Amino acid sequence: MSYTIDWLAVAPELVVVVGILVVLTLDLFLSRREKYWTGVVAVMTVSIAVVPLIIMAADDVTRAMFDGSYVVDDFSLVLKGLFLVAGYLVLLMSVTYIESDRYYEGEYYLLLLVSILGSLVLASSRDLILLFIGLELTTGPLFLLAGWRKGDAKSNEAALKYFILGVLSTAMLLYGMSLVYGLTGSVRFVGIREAIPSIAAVQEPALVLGVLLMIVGFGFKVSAVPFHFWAPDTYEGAPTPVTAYLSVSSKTAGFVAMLSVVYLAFGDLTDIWGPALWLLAAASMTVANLSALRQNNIVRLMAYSSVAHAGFMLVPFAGAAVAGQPLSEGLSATVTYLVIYALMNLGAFAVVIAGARRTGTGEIEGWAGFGSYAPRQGILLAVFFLSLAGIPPLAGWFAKFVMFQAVITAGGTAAIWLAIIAALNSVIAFFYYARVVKTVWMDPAPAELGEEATAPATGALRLAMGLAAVAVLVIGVFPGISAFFGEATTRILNGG
Amino acid sequence: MIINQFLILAALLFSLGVYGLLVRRNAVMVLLAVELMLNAVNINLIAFEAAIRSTLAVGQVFAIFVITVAAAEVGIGLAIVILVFRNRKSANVDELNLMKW
Amino acid sequence: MNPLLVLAAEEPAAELVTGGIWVEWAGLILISPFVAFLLIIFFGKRLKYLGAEFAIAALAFNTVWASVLFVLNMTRGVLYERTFEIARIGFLGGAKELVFELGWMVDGLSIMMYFLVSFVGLLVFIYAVGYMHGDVRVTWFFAAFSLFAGSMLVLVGAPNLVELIIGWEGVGLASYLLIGHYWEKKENSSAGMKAFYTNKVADVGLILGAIIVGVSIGTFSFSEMSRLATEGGNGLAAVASVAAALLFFGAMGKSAQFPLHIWLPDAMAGPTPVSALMHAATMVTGGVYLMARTFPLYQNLAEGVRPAMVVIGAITLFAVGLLALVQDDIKKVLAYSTVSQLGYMMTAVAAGGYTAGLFHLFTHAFFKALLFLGAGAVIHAVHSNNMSDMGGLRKYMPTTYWTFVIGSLALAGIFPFSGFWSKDEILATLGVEGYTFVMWVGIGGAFVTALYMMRAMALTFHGTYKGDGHPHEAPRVMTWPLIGLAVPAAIAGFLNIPGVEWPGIRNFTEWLAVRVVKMGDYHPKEIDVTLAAIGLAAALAGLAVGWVLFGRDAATQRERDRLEIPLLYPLFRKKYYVDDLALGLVWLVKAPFARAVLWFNDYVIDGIVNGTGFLARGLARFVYGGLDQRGVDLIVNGLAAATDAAGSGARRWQSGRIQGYAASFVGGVVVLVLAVVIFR
Repeated sequence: MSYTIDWLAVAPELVVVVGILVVLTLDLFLSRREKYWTGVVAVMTVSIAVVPLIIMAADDVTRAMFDGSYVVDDFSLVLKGLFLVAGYLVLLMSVTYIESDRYYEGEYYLLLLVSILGSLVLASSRDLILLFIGLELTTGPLFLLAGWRKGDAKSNEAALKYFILGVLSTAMLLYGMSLVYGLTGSVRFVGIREAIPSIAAVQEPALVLGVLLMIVGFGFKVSAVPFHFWAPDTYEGAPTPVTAYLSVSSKTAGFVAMLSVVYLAFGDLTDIWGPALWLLAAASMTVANLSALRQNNIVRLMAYSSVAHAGFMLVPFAGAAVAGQPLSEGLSATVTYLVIYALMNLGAFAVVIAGARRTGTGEIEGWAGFGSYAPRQGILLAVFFLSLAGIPPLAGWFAKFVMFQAVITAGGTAAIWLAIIAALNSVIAFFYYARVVKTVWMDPAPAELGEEATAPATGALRLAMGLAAVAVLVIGVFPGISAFFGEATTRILNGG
Repeated sequence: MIINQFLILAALLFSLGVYGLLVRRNAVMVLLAVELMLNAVNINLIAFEAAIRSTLAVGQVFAIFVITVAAAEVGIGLAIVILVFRNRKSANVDELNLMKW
Repeated sequence: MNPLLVLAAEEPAAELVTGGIWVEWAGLILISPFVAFLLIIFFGKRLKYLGAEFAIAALAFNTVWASVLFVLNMTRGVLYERTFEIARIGFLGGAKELVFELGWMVDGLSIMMYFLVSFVGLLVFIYAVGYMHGDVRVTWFFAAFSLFAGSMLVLVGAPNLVELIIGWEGVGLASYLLIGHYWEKKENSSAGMKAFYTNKVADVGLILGAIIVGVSIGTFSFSEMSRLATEGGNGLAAVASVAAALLFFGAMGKSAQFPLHIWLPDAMAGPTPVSALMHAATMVTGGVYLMARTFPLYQNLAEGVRPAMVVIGAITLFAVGLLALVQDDIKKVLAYSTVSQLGYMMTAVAAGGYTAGLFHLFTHAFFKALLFLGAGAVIHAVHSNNMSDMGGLRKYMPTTYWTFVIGSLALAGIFPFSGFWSKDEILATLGVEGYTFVMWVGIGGAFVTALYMMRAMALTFHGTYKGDGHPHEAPRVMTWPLIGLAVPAAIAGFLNIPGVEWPGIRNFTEWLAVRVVKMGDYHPKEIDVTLAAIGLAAALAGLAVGWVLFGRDAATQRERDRLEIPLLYPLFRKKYYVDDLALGLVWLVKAPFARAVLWFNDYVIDGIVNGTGFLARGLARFVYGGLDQRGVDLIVNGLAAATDAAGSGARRWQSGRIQGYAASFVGGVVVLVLAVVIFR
């Protein structure tokens, strides 16, 4: 068997690989002061990688390689685009952050690029091995990046907790994969799906275990309860741009993995993973929102918020599954939510970085009156947080909307209960977002700023915030744009 | 061929690994437990491969990937453990609870 | 083949023992040290001698059993093999099959080794009770030592390559653990590391060679291998040379052949009983044993490899022997001596001297262990390893002195001690097989051996005592084993005098005969007096020169010891720079590994014994963190205050402790699976 390689299909990945090599080489030769060039190269790489993506999107062709293991279809294109955009924004956010403290710059950008590469591979993977590789390549560098502040005890702790729980979940994921492979004889999703009907009844418990363990493994990556424990600590301890990346790209990667596996491989096993996702969604929303109410540290609050959102994202898919309905609408809703969430979350983190620099603290009380002395950033903060809360006309409302729509149309008792839980949680969530906005705008500013207050945000950061804000506003007003992406993913998954 | 004994072995090893991860205080021991789990997965894969005999030896290929990735992860893990150790002079995981609630 | 060759064991004798309890249950010999290991781990600390009782009991049991087998073999001959199939793997699409078995082999060669390991081991264990008295880790020491003994017995009792490799790795592990016994000092754990690495490098060859053999003939069994090797005309011939070279590479590591010998001198960092048993008498002979077991392969199919093996053995024998001349540490002298003697054994077997090499292995075990134990007694008395802190100890430690003398004379090859006979047979074999140059190297080696042993003896026991302690004779628990070893060191040679047949007892060559297989093996019908005389003369000359240089009086002693033969001595001191090369290679890798394994070292005993405690604590933590705190969380509500309170509760689940998280993780998995199963 000879395999031909469609170079255009892997062009984005190749660009990133070249970028990695260039960064690696540059890092050797640049002096400390010139290291920011590695960041520039990284940003350029990500930008250039978008080009082949657009070319491929334009001609509407599904490309498959390696017997269908590596596929570039609309689903992949949309998600690759998301990864690249998210990576771009995170890089912008990182530039100032990394430069100011004495971090290892070159390696930082290198690891980030490697992670981006992994996520690109992941979006195209249609078999278990490639999925695993993509997932690990995405999260491996993140373990290290979480501990980037080498002298900071919290950063060390964050990295270790993330790592240990991460490899635990990888082991579980792999065990589940091995069982699934063993029972179906195939690692390709399509092959698994075809082999499932012929599994003997006596082997079924093993299949259940395999599927559930894989769900557990993915659940860790998307920080669903009860696999979320790493999130608050890691988000709090890691450098904030890394946290932003974790909360968006890593989570999206987990969702990509979960959705493609569950949709393509386990499409007929909704009675196994449906209830599981139902439980995860319900638990995530509830536990996370309740925990977030009492948080005093803004990054930790964002962590719980992202756990809750993961729960929200699972709702449509879980609802459709337990109701026995076709999955395409659930899938579309989840992807739409993902896209919107990514943008608003990144924006929120950008503001958090800027705000932390300005106020010198991460405690919410320390941000009192932020709006009075940094009005533009205050507004942006309000935009992002209210969007997260789901207030129109900001993008977040549409995300919640598609979510509810998908789960209610699915029908059935279980789905309706899930919708009720989601609704309650949206209300609860509103409180803590609102609290932050209130503190920023309506509380009097403290007499002195914290010791670490520094100059206003630099260009890159402002660019990131600006772009995210624009996106959030635009989508809020013209939600069809995000819906388009969401639908695009399902069209091709449906058709083949 | 019957492969049950290998699957049971793998399950036992996996459970041992989980136990080790939950109970051990030293971070390096936890890493060892994780390695145990990953190797249990390898046993599973190879056993299944022996039963299935696919043309491309997929199970074995998968196992090789798992070994490689496990090695990389251990490298990362040890780097992190050493980092923690250097700062705190202890690799005891119980002591890491600066961040909670 | 040489017309003088006597083909061993062509026909099975009528009175051959092939059944009965003693052989059919011989597997107990292999198992008993492991049983002792478990008993020591669990109960050792409570006993009077902290677990040594179990170890000694196991080896005593083994010695009795092995002695019975030994006598049976001496008089009638034994041939038995028992295996249990554990796996059968088809490959190449089912065209070929590979069989994996475990079991035990009872034939002349393995009986000789059973006896050696058990008897010498027993004496060393008894000695160790005295030597290790007051040590901080006695129980663990005996546990690891028992583990070693069991693994060594598995190695020599293995009927196939797989089991041999299992035993091989086992002794390697035990060696690492025991060398690093005093791991508080970094050099000691580094030494353990070095041993481990060097052996691991060599093991690659061993395993590859084993795989090649197994794949080509479908089995790893030694008897099958021997049969196929002599019959010829099968798949084995094609791969034989490669496999043989690889197996030899593996043997080089374990038996410390140049240049893989570097770990052995450093291994002296371990306690002296360890050096005595493992690094003199038994473990290091594993490589020679492997060569002997696969002898038909080398003899018939892989003749091309043998000259290289002989040369390596010769280099080892001579060059490394020279290094013993410049050591101040008495254990290092003995270590280099051991490497040199291993070179003798290896070169003999490689040249075709099956009996010669094994006979030397047999005698060497006794006198080398004796010498080490004696050195240990001296070190114990003087609290220093260095000969510059010793001197004149003859007056204070007579038993030690005289047994040491016997051991030294045996090692040097002085008539009528055992070493004379075994070394002479090696030289004779080399001569007959046409390796005349190597034979002269061997004679030169005899000179060097005698020289450094005389130096060691003189510096330690003669002259005047230079230290400031109060040396005294070792306690009886240590001196009785010395005497116990001195006896065979003195008289074991008589078992194999060429041309002499003791009534009722079979010839040594016949003892060792491997199955009913024709092997080329030279066993002299009568002693070559000229050669023996030359060898003896060389040894005596060495002794004499040594005496002249070092023995006469204290002042000259010290002065002569500082003799610097330019170029040579510095080269010796630097051990030909081989060490530095290897050290550079290994340096980067070893530290984290050592630390990781040393934690294992310390945790295992406590961990196992307190296992239930851990379990209980882990459960309690999970219950407290997960269930108890979560209970607070179940106050669900719509009121802000209640929600708030619930919010606090939910927060508490995030305990901050990794294993709490992990426990909740695993708990979540369990709940999830149960829930799905129930709700389907």
